[in-house]
Amino acid sequence: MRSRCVVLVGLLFGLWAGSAHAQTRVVTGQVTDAVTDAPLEGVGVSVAGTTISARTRADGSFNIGVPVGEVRLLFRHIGYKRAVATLSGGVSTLNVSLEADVFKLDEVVVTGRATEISRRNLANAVATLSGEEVAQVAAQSIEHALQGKVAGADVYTNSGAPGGGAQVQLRGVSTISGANSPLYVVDGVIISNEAVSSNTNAVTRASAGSNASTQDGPVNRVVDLNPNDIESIEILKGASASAIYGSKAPNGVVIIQTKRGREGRPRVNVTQRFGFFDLSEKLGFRTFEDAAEVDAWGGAGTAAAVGFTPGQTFDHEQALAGRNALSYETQLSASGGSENTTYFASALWKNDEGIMQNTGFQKQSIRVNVDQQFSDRFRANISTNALHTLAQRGLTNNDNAGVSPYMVLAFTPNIVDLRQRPDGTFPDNPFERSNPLATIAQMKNDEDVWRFIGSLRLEFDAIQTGNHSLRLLAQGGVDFFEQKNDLFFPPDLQFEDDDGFPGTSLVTNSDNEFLNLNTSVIHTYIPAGGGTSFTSSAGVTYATRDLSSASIQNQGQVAGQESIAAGIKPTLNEVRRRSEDFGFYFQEEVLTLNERLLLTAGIRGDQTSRNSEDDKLFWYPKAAVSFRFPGGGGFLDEIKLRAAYGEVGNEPLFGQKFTPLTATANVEGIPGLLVQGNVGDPDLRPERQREIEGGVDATLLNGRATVEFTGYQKSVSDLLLTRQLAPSSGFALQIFNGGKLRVRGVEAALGIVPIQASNISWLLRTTFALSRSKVTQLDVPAFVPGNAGFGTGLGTFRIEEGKSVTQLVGNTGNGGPVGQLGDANPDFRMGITNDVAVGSFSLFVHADWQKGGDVVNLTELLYDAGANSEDFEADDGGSFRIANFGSSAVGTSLYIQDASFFKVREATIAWQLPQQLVSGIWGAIRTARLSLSGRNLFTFSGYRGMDPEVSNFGNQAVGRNIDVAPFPPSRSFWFSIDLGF
Amino acid sequence: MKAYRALPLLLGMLAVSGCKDLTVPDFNNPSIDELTGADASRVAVVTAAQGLFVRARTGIAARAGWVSNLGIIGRESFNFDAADPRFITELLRDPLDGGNGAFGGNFWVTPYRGFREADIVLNALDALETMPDAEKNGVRGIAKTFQALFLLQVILTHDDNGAVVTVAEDPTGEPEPIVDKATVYSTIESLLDAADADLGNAGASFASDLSFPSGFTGFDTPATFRQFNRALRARVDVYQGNFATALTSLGDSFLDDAAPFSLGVYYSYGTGSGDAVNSIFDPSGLIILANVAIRTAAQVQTDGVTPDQRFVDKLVSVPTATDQATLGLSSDLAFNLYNSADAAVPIIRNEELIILRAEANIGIGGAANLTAANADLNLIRSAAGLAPIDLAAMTPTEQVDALLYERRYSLLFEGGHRWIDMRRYGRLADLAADDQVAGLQLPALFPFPVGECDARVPPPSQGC
Repeated sequence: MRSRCVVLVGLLFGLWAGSAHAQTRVVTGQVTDAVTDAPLEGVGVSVAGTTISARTRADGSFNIGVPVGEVRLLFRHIGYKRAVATLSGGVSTLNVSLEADVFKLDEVVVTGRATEISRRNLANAVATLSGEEVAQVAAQSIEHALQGKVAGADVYTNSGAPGGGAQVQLRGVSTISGANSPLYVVDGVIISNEAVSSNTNAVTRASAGSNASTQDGPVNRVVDLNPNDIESIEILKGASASAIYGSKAPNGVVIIQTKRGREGRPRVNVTQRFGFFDLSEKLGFRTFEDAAEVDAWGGAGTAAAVGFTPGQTFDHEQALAGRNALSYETQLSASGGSENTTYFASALWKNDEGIMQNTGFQKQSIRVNVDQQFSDRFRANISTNALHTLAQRGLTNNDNAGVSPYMVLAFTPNIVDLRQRPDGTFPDNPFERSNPLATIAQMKNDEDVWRFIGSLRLEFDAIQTGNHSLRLLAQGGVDFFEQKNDLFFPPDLQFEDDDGFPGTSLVTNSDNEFLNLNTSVIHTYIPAGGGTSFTSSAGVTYATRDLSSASIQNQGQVAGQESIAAGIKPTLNEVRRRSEDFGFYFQEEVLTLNERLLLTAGIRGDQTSRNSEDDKLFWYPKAAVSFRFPGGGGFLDEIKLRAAYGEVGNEPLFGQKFTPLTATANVEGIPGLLVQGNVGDPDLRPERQREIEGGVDATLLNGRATVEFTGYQKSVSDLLLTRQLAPSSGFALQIFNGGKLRVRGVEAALGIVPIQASNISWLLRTTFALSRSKVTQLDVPAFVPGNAGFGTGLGTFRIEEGKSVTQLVGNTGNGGPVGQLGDANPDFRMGITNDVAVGSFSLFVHADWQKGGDVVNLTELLYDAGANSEDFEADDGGSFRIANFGSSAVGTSLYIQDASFFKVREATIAWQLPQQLVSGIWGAIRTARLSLSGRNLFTFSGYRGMDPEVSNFGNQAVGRNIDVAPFPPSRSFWFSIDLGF
Repeated sequence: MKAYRALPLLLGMLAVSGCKDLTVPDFNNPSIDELTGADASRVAVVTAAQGLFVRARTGIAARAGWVSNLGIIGRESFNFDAADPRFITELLRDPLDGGNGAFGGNFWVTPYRGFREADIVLNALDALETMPDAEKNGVRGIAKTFQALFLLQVILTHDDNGAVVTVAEDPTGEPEPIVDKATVYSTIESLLDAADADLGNAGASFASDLSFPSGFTGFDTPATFRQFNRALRARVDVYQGNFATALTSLGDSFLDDAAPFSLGVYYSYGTGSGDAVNSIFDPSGLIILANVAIRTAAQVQTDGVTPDQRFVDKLVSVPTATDQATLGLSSDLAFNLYNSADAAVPIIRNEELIILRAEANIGIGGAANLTAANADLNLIRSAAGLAPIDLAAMTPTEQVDALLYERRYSLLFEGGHRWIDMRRYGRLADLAADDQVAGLQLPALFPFPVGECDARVPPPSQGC
């Protein structure tokens, strides 16, 4: 241990360098927008070849002390191309205009834990989205706002349930059974994206036992964030970019910066949105022509028993999920500040009413970001965010108890009236164990989350001379949330007497706490003459992650009382996890040859309590190079070649290294100690991912077009695999490191401005990505990963050497062999975004296209099994499918279906009210905008289920795309007013 | 320069943080270290021994458990659960699939988990210093008896496929060999006999901190637990045709003509947190049904009207329910055996012992033995309201018919007796007579679970 500490000390002293001050003179001037001539506030002004910098004031003016003699001044501003001006020794005033940077060429991108570099030089394909792009249309979760916008980021929702549940998968699969979420970093703080199950499993019995299950449709908690607060999102897609995050970033990193205040008078913005959600896809029901058909379906006397009238049908889906209730969102923000203190404050109140009764999503957020400049050298940034969300998610997904609505409707034809009677009661469902309309109306499934995310960042410029700067940075952050799941199923629900204990009540209280501490030193050396800079950074991080979840389930709530204490058959569960880890990193960036060549090298060392040897360091190196060639005139402005390599890890999950006993089981209160099944591996360590990427970026047509092309290969070795032990040993499995997988892919992004005139502009952006994976080595027999299907008879994922990681297999015929029948991975994915502005009107349309990929449509199998699917009697329809299912050469393949889709994700049409009209109404109003927008407006898909974006098992590294009675999809429509004061 | 003051602070943070211990224990579960090696404590060993009672009843009264699944194969019961058609398709129509842990791959993982747990207890006892030898012998007797019971479950379901009879210390090494049926039975016998010997040296009572569930009431001293052990031995003897030994074992068991038929040892269930309920209890009346053949095959009592009293007591008429896999099965008969979520399930009881004695006597043959057997069967029959029979007047086949009839109704839906009996007497095919539709399968044994096959290179020659 001691030797490591000493190494670090030496490293830091190595950074130390002497310096001397130089004589200065003062230059003043103003910066304006090239098109509108409006003054630009907050533009960074710096002297090339030095670390001297300043910022423009609200009127665009600046003054900066520069060395005597000729200097080059650099002007940078978010959203604008940078400008360079050479100033001879005698000139002391300078006015500059900046052009809009629609393709973000001059944006700075965070490349280390504390360093950043201009996109122009970047060696990785890092995607960035501005807050404006994220907040175009009201979104419940940031993930929704990312869908289809980033090449190589596959963002899928798990179902249509209100309140999120979505997965961001960067560059395909990265693991089989390790952690599958990208790392979310908000204002420098690693936040939790934990998904704690609600435990609807207690009534659905989707998984055996009473433990919460991923089939509960859990919500991953990034949903809590307020998309309106976002200034920018940066996505590090693979190991070559995220290596500096070590074993925390196997699935990439999503870096979110929230808005901050700027010096100047207070600016207040108010956004009010009204809208509604609307069921966007139905499955339909079989049509029964006459009583004879009904009796043939349900047995003699069925038609009479349910009062069948030919032609009279009851649309259960509409009754269940046809609600269009008013939803709204109010966002207030204020920002401003004095020379030394700036602030941004915001508040959000959002209330989305779901398409089913008793479902919906509420979010409240308060954010205060304060930046304080204590002296020229010492700054502090404080970010605080208090959040509350309430998700009411109904009851969906797989079920073994006849309670999940779409599971029940599969066996309930539309000939029976399930609607509420005038006296308030619901009829029993004669064909199944529950009436879904009653279940949804009377049950409760509330997920209530209170959350605080806060961080403090201190920056101290220890040395700042003409050529050297040394910055010390200390940052601490905490993310704490408390989640309470309250579920209640009253005893008079039809299914509730099935087990002899009518009435079920559940409470789960979960606490999650992330703590991050991070100190860094950044040294920049800029040799005289300019065009070259050396940036060294080193630091230490310490982080803890705690989760504690206690749940009580009680059955036999006979009196109909919700209190958890009112039942007679209690079940208690608790899960606690804690991880502690250290990271050490060093990075060197060299920008030279007139800022054309970038060389980067870095290394991160990680140790974590999740490894069997918790004090062993694992090293993750990275290296990158990029070179910008100037265009030779003509249409090509500039072309950049880049290559990057990096490694990251994927830590074992908590508990995988232990050989546990079970102490919770008892018989009549007599406790027992039992073998649980896992045999801890004394050498369990992180998976290792090695990624190499290379690409070409070009700017064309005088900045009117950009093209980015990237190819990558990532190889993951030391996979966390499960070795099945012979069951006769009395143990079940051992988690060990072995096997390899590989993902290759290409990504492309094209941006073009076909029209750019003073009152009309059109910006078109497209993204394209495809990836292919392969299991290159598997040290265990082919296996079905956990939560990846229901056996080969029904179609399941299977990890098999030489095959795609996401292959779907099934029985290829009656008694025939198990073989590949599909692949969840799409052929390709493409995003198309149009921004059109005509005068004060603007139109934004964003579409998301997926070609290929397969889904196991078990919902259809259920409807077919119930002889109740809409096309049951059609040629090759439901009766054909169910008759051939598992008993002919067609086998399981009929239910493994193409998941191609084209979705119009977002559309907004907006009118910026004329200034004179606005100020005529009320002088205080600076700007006003009216807009109509919608999300998921149209879906074009040949998929026969409700939505090809589906995952019965929630977020999974591999096992998505299993469709079992999900929450139906919806579209939303919004009318918005934005006012600026 | 101010920087020089900040630097030591930063370095200090690095030094402190870089040398912190990162050890985090398992908060959720005790470690196996509490039972192995020098750290084993008395309380852990005793609790692990009690764990055998918990393990033994695991999977017995589950929906897809011992009683229910073997009941379906033995044509005693149905499970019409719409959510899982495999109760029909796999158990009655298609070949048993070792890949389905709850169906074809069942009755292997749980008993071997229990076998291992008993092994851990036995090893821990050897090293434990805080327990007197007599108490250790008591726990050993219990552990070995349960090991025998676990192996019996395995071999009854896997029969000629054989089974594993040993556990290696390192579970991650090569799997232990699969041995043939005869070797498994002889291992079961020696385990039962070793347990019997241990119990004989266990003093008058078990360790005072060792608790027994209610199903073992009356069998919670070394002397009475031995009677349970001998009862199991008698069952094993009869199954193997060792009828003379069986009579000896029965003599040492709790067999008692004068005691209630229900006297015996039971698996216990409860509704507390961490306990398990008896899931065969089905208040909906729509899922677990009885085969209607039980009604038609029931003999009539001496009044000429009432069916066999056992039928009257154990079954109840319900509205007709049908299978959802559309094989055309239906039933209007449900069981009246397990009427609450904590209803106990018999392991072995007096009524079975009486019939076992009859079977042993029939097996030995000869006038005296047949007379004894006749008395036992008529004891059972008179309790059921049926006319006495005369074995001496019957052919050997008729004697077996008579015996199997009593076993069928006395041990109805108590854990696969019907299926096991019909196989023992080579009459499995006769079960087809109880089917409502033709062509259903009649499996004689279970395959190994797929995990057991995969763990062995090459896989076993049969059972995979």
